[in-house]
Amino acid sequence: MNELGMLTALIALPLVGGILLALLPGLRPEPARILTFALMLVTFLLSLALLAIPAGSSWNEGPFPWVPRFGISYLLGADGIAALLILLTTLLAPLVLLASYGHVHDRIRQHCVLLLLMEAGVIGVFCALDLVLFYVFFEMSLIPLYFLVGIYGGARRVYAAFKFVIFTMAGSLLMLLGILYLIHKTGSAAYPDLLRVSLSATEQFYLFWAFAAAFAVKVPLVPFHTWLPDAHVEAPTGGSVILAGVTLKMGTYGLLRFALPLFPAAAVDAVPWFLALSVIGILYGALLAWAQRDMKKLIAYSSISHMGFVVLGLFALTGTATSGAVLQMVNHGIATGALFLLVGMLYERAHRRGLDDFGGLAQTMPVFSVFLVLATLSSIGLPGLNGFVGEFLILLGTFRDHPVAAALASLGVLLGAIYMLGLLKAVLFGPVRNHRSAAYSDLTIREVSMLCPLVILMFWIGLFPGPLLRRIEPCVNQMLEAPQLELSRHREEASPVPRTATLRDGSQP
Amino acid sequence: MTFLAALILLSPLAMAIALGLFGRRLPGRTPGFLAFASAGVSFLCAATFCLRLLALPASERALSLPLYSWISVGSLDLNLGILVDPLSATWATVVTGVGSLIFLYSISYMQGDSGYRRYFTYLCLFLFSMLILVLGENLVLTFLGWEGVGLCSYLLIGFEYDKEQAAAAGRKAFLVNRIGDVGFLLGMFWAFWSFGTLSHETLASSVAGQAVSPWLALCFFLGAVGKSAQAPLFVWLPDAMAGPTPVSALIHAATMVTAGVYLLCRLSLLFAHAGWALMVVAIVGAFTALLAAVIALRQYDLKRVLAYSTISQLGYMFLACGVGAFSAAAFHVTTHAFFKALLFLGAGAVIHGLSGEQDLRKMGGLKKSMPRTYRSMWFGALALAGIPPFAGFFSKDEILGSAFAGGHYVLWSVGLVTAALTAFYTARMMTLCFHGSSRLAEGVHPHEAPPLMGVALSLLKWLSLFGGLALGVEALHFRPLHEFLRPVLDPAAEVLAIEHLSVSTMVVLLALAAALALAMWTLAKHWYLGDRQVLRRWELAAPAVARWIAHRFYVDEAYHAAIVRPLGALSRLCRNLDTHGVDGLFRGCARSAAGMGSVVRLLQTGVVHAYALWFLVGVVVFLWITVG
Repeated sequence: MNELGMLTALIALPLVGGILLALLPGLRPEPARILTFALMLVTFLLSLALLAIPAGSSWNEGPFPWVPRFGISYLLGADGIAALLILLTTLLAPLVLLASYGHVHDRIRQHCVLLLLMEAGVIGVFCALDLVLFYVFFEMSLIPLYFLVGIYGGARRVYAAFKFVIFTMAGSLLMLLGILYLIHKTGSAAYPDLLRVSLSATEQFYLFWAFAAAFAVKVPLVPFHTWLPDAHVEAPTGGSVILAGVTLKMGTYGLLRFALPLFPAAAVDAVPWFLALSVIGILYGALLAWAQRDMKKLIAYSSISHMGFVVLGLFALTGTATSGAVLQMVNHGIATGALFLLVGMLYERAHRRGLDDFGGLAQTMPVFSVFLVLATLSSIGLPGLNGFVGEFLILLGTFRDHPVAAALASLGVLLGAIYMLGLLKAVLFGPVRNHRSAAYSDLTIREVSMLCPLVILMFWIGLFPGPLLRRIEPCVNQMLEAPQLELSRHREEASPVPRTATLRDGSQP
Repeated sequence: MTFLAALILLSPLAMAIALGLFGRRLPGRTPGFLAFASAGVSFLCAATFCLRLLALPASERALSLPLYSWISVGSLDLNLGILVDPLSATWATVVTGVGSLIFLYSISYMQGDSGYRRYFTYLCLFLFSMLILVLGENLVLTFLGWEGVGLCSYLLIGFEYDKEQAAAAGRKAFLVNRIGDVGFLLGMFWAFWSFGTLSHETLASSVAGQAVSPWLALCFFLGAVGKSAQAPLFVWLPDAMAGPTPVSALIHAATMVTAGVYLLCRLSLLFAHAGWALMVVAIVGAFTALLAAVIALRQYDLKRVLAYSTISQLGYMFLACGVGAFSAAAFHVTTHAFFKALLFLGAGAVIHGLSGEQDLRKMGGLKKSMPRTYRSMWFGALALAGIPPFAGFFSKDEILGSAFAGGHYVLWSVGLVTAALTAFYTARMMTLCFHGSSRLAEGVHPHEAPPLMGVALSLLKWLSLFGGLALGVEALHFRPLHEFLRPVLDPAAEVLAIEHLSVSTMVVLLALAAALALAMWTLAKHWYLGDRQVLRRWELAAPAVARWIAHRFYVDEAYHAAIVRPLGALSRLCRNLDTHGVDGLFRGCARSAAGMGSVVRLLQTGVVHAYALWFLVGVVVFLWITVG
């Protein structure tokens, strides 16, 4: 319980590896890349141990005092939710590194270092249980991504990277203020301590929105989404995969882990806002995706729509919907990761990615086509694949208390099919519009081996979601305990039925 | 038992995977034969199950075979499992039986196509999905199959994906179906929170005796409307004819499009408790039947005539469900599968023989060059037209009889008019295709279909003749299919207190329908066989009406103008709003921050006097605020 263990190892391995890689003199680029790959593979294999966390409980490490005067400590913990997101991270990292063989030919070593630091930061975010530690990791994961976009990106990379950082920083500064206030008030930054603290309604209100601002920008929730398309379009393939696959989840993870349980009363009050914003995000993002003629932009906007589903599920505050939302975080990482990888592969061949630049690739690149079709089907939630299970649970759970929101969100499922099948039709089907596309070679073994794990997961989660849901559900119920209590109190106040629910320990009626 | 049930599903699934992954090296027609074998195995298993169920007492005819727990969260506990009861067994037998014959036909039909292996992979995948739809033990599994068949339909309509039109038609089919799917999804959510279950068996028992919101039933109905191409969502089916003809026969006539009827039958008890919802079903069904039959009058594409006739016949099935005659609907599904598959396969043989020609105006006189196809098509056409003793006569007239018995005289007369129109357009199609003088284009040399295709045709021919007689003649109280389905469908009929006609009324109605059909048949044959002047006179009599019919009542155009284009415009509007509005706002913030910086910079002049002046101004303002 109190010793350093697996979680520290999972953070330290890429972190120390990255620093050593940066400092080691005379290491040539290619060996550095192979070394990085090996390191990431080891990290992934180690992280598989997280599957051994018993359902409903967690692995904790610490607390070790860090700045004892302010109650800041080194405290890590991973429950079922964190374990899945860490696994997603450690799985995507080596795939991204493999993808870099296709498009990173300069500054290879820096690229590897950035990826490793990024991985360490993201893993840290998902298991930090001290708010200051969390904030440090939250920001630490930002910087490598800034450089990944700014150095290895497209023509407007500097603008995009700058915009991305300004947006996220602006949000997380508010969170920092919130964290400082909490420390000032309670003398501790440790999550378990803060769960027991009672805050007044006003305090909860300001603190909730301070945290929510940071996470809403990260998700991103409409209207704070405009950094995402720019960042995605300019980012290199690997950057896009990490951005969509993992970093967006830091926002929804933060909402679930911190915003909901720490400030339940304010969260319950904010439910209508979040439901509205997520439904708007689902529909608006889908309509925007439909209007795009650039494949990367299309997928970027589809991410806004899909993350809207996740937020909807989180704030429906039912075990079903919120479990679906956590599963959908993983699903979105898999499907969108695969889509960005595929677009990247096409871009490496054609050096373009407009919808109108292709057509008829099904004839010239059959293997690529099969993978693109599968990733699309996963993304639009075809039953039998992973996307369906998450979407279904989110909508089912939301429908109980918010049928209108669920119905509107279901239209997003319809719109999703419109733009994604439009993508397939433009790129794969129809006559060959671009005579050069006959010369594109089909996928190489390296590329197929990058996609295979993702496709296997699509089917596995679609057909056997049980093991994942069994890990997610108890943790989700723990997160929702306080908000649900608050919710039932709201209902009782609204209805004339006398109160029966026991109030949360120490809170004011 | 479980093994046998699993085999129904696994046989086509395993074949789809095997062909998809490893079929590349198989020579010639081997993939076709292998796929046919897998469908045959499925059929044998399904038929065995039918016999086994028959051996059981009526109350025990339901075998639930769970495989494992699929999705289990909170109070939701979904099994992945199979439910074999008379309804699912009947459907599975029809699907695999007609399916096998169409697989057999395809072996020859698709020969030489570069996508031969891909075609059979999709076909096996389709069969698997359809069986999941039918045999799934809960609504979510049914939905899985529902989407699966939609996907296969999408892939098979767009099979010749290098053709722009085929790819567009596939996408249209999928999207229109998805509109219905949203209804299906919402129906499931609503049903789950109302009844606490999504499993077919427990749902039926928890619905019993409760008042169900009609809107809940209509959510499911929307799903059925999409999949079964009813008004107003029928627009995808005619375009779906861009797929290979056996696919049209299998998916867009015999099996997939009847999934909506299956859903209605499966949820018959829920609909029976849902007040006026059934009336909506009946009206939509009758309206669709009439509308599609009218449109079919003026189509010149052989496959499109058949497509509209399919829509029309599906309308009959919905009408049957709507008046509470669920078993009559199931009966019509069965006979329709026989004769419509036959007609499509016959049409395929014609198109094959004419090297791809589908225009009725460029056919004529084919009976000499394609005698066997001609004879087979006749059986199908007579069954479709409702001429006794062919299969369609019994099932269709049972539907009309049920509408009459329920006192729905308007619906009944709409059905009767539709029956007359059906006889007319069927005879028109047959005459234009096979009779009269040849209008073939230069260089087209019609030839008879190869033997494998012939085998499938002749088997379906006999099913179209005897299918009705063997499965149910209401007037003689000989109704084996209805008796078999009784455990599943009777509870709903009891709730609705369905009336039955006396034998004498029934005979009168049958005679009326048969006479009308024969009369219309003769009229059409006379008009289209002789001089072609009559056709023009008929058109000229009411040019506006004729034009509306020829353009299918401009439904596609209306959708385009009312939904597709506004949505597209909305999405472009959103794009502009996003780049100039929302993002512009943030960029504006950034600019104004920068601007403020440059304004404040003006104060930093570096001149000490200026600083002193500002200091003084500051002090004055401060004093004014605090003191004054």
